[in-house]
Amino acid sequence: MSRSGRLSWLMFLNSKNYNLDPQDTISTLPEDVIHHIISFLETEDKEQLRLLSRKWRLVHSQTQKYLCFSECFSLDEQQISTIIQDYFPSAESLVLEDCSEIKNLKIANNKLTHIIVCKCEDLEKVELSTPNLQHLYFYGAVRQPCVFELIDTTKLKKLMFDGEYIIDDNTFLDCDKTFPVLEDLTLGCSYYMPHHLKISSRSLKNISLFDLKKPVDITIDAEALVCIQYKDHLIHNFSNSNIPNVQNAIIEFNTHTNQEPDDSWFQKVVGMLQAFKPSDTLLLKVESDKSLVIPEEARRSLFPPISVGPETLTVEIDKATESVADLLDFIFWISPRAEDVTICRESAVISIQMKHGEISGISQNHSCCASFLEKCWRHSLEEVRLMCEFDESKGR
Amino acid sequence: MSTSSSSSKKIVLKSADNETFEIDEIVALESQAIKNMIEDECADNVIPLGNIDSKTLSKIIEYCKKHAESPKKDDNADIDEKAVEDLKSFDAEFAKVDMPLIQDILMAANFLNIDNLIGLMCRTIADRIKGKTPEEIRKILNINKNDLLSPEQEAKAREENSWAFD
Repeated sequence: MSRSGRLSWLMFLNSKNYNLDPQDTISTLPEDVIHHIISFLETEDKEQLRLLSRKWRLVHSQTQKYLCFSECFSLDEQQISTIIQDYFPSAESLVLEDCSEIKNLKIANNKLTHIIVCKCEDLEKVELSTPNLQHLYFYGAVRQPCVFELIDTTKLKKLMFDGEYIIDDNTFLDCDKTFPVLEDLTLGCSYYMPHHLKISSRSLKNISLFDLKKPVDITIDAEALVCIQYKDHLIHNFSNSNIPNVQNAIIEFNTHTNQEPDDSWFQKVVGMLQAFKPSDTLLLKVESDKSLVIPEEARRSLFPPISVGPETLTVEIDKATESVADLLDFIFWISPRAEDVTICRESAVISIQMKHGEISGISQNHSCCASFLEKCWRHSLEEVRLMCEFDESKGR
Repeated sequence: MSTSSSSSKKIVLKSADNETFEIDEIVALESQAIKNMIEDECADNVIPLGNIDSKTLSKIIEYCKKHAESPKKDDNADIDEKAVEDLKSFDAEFAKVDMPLIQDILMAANFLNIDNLIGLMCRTIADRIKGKTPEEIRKILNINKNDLLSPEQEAKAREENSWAFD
């Protein structure tokens, strides 16, 4: 594979000096005329032209918008820059996949809007001077943490870092300055996270955090945030987050098999639920409800996390140990005013729709409601609708 | 402005196979290259076109005549729709020739710099290779077999775009 990669590209790079056959009238036409012909073709037909001959491949490459280097073992940094600049001047999207041997990737280009760098395991440094870049994805294992130097990110809308990479405390501290139009941010899988990850942005709409490899204090200040996703084995400290307009929150976590959830774990669960409480809907996905359901004794010392919380709550559990009643009790402890609750528990789906009445006036009559206003869900309930479904294929 | 064709200036074009074509200057002016030559006064009465054969040249003259006769957009604000339709169907008929001739016409049109004709021929070629496989296209366009991609180059070329962005 390595050999063929070298051969093909070198031949391609040298193919400017092809010999033209006078019988091949069309290929002797000036390139602007050939481009004129190509301009009448649909994308799929244009793709065919690359396969005609070296001449046509060369001509086509000048208008090619997408460029993918896959398993190009022999390409070095220099060649990649040359190829992009000289042979693919129209390329807007660049993919580097499985290109080992590239250590430093340095690209300066005004056309590129999309860059995907994946599974380039020797990559150590990425330097991009690409003022029109809108999407940047980096993923796949690398031998060493990758350092990114992004010169101009004023048009970047989507950013995904997944794999080993280095960002510092301040990378996302002032996104309005450094990433003024960033909408989607995905961070995952790095040992090199700062201890305190601070994200502050007015433009961010989606944040995904997953598999951070060490506990991190996370502070998010994003008033436009609509969706937040969080998936991890560890539970992180969410503190002082400001996400008032979030509509969807998805929390997925699993304890390590050897780690029993303890008080500090539950404290963090509450902290996280607290941080995500402005969300209209909340989806909790856990492998075992043991890591989610806070035991009653522990609950007494913790303030209910959500006084006016998500109206729609969904809980998905693979391995259930608690009874449905205990689970519901916990859910209503989390969000006493929830209107739509769904529990997917092993093979059963239980959905409950509830209508709550006014809470004022009832607190005097019931000691439970008097002591914790809004904590109790029982006494303001007006209507309940319960539905159960069993997936027969999974058995009971 | 002289409208009578009999009193208009004549230009003689001479093809590679030494055939001469006498045409009205207005027809010759469809070619930007000839127009430039006339304006620069470096055109004699006979313009030799050593790289265009008589078959191709007569087709080109046919095209230029028709287009020179048709009212131009900037001449007349409300162009006759019928004239536009007429020109369209002429172009469609004109392009119904075999591929070698189309390529010869395109070469010549490019040399003579006749914009509309270049466009028409390019579109015709594009239409004929639409939806075809590379092998079929090579046959249609008579692409040099010695310049073909090696199988591995072809595989590489296919790979370059074997993915899509969301």
